[in-house]
Amino acid sequence: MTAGDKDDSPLMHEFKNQLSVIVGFCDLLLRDLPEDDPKRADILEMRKAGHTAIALLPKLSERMR
Amino acid sequence: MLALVGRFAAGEGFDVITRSGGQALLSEWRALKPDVVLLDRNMPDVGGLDILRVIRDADPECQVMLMTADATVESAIEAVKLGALDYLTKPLDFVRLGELLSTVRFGIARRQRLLAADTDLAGRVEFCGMVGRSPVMQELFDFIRRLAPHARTALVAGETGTGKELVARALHKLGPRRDRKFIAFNCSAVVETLFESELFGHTRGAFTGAVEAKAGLFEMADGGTLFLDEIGELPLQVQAKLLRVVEYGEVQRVGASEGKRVDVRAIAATNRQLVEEVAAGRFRQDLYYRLNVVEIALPPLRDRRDDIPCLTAAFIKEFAGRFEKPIAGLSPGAERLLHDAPWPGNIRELRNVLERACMLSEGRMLNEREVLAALGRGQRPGLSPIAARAAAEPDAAEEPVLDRGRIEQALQQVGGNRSAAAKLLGVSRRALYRRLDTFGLR
Repeated sequence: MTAGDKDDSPLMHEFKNQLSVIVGFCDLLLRDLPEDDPKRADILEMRKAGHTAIALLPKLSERMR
Repeated sequence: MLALVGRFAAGEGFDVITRSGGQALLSEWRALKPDVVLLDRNMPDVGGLDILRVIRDADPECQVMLMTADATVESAIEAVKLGALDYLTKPLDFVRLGELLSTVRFGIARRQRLLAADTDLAGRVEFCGMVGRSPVMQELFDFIRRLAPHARTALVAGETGTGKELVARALHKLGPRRDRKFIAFNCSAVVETLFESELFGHTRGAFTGAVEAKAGLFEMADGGTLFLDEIGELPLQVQAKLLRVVEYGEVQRVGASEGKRVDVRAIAATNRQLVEEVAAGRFRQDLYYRLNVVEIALPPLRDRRDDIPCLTAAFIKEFAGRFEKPIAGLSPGAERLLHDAPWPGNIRELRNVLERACMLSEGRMLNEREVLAALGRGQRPGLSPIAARAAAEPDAAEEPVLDRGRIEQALQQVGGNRSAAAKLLGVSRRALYRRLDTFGLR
């Protein structure tokens, strides 16, 4: 992914920022919860979805051009 | 993002302060004095790279990390070249961030341990208030220890600020007169006409104004030690009289016909080359030979730089205690500055510089900037324009005119938030507070 002078880049950037916050809080929760906590699985799903969304961003960016 | 990073760093044991824009950080970071800063590269007002430059310029000890959503190799290299500790991409890798924070914490702890070790060393190499681990000082201490019980007169030679009085006190403290008086007298601090009366006393009516009889310092120090600093300043005719006292133990008050016996150990000190003074006829040769039976020469600080770390540690401990500040260390840059300074004023100058630096310091660590400021050399040259602006910011020089109406209007507009109002008015928060005080709005 490149930062540049594309028109949609500030928007994409901010979007990635927000997704990073979601993923980050998942990481924090996972650090705090004990290994055997049943809630871990759910949080892992949220985190995975966040990462997938981030991975989709370049494609989205291309589509918008 | 701020809450996220804040929570993580707090969990790692850091005190966290967050600011939501580059400008807010620029105006406050000097007061905040962070050990480590995590910056977003893309911020609306001032970019992270610019702030990185400012911080690295002004406080090389402060560690800076950048984070960004769009990392390119070029920008990462630029950041690291500018002195960033690391360049993190979002979403943040908390394992990596945790490691980086540990590195920072370890660095701080190491500096503190170093100072503690130097303080400890200073304690072990301390001798009657003098600190010196260098061989020349250790030899000198040994010399003083052996002389103290015997010497009746001594001449201490050394540049200003090398600790001549401490040597005299050590001789006193370690000698048989330790329980008697120690009187210090600075020969350069008295007008010429009063020397005799000061040193030897006078009888009633000996001269105009001598309403009462007065004992001189030699009589007062009877049984003890009299320290005569800057002996080279003594007028010639007083030197003759001094020689009599030192030689025969007899003082004669001004106006008295009879002498009086005293038993005083006289320690003289000089920062001049007395031999040259003798050659020039300004100092009596016989007095010189009488005094220099024992001569103790103190080396200037620049000739014993190995002692600077433990002297520094001892002084920092003293001043941190006096000013009730948690100063526990010294940055490598600050240490280098102290080590390399010329120190024409020797240990006294070092002590004064550290006193000033400790007074200025607001952190747990004396940094290069504080030491530079205390050394009186001011700002380092070559500050970037932003740094210069940030540095100049507290001055009111370029502030727009702020009348009461405008301030009230701005405050209303932002719902009373002063930081926001300051931004709106285009002035620093401090400037705004100043105006608020002026108008009694605070």
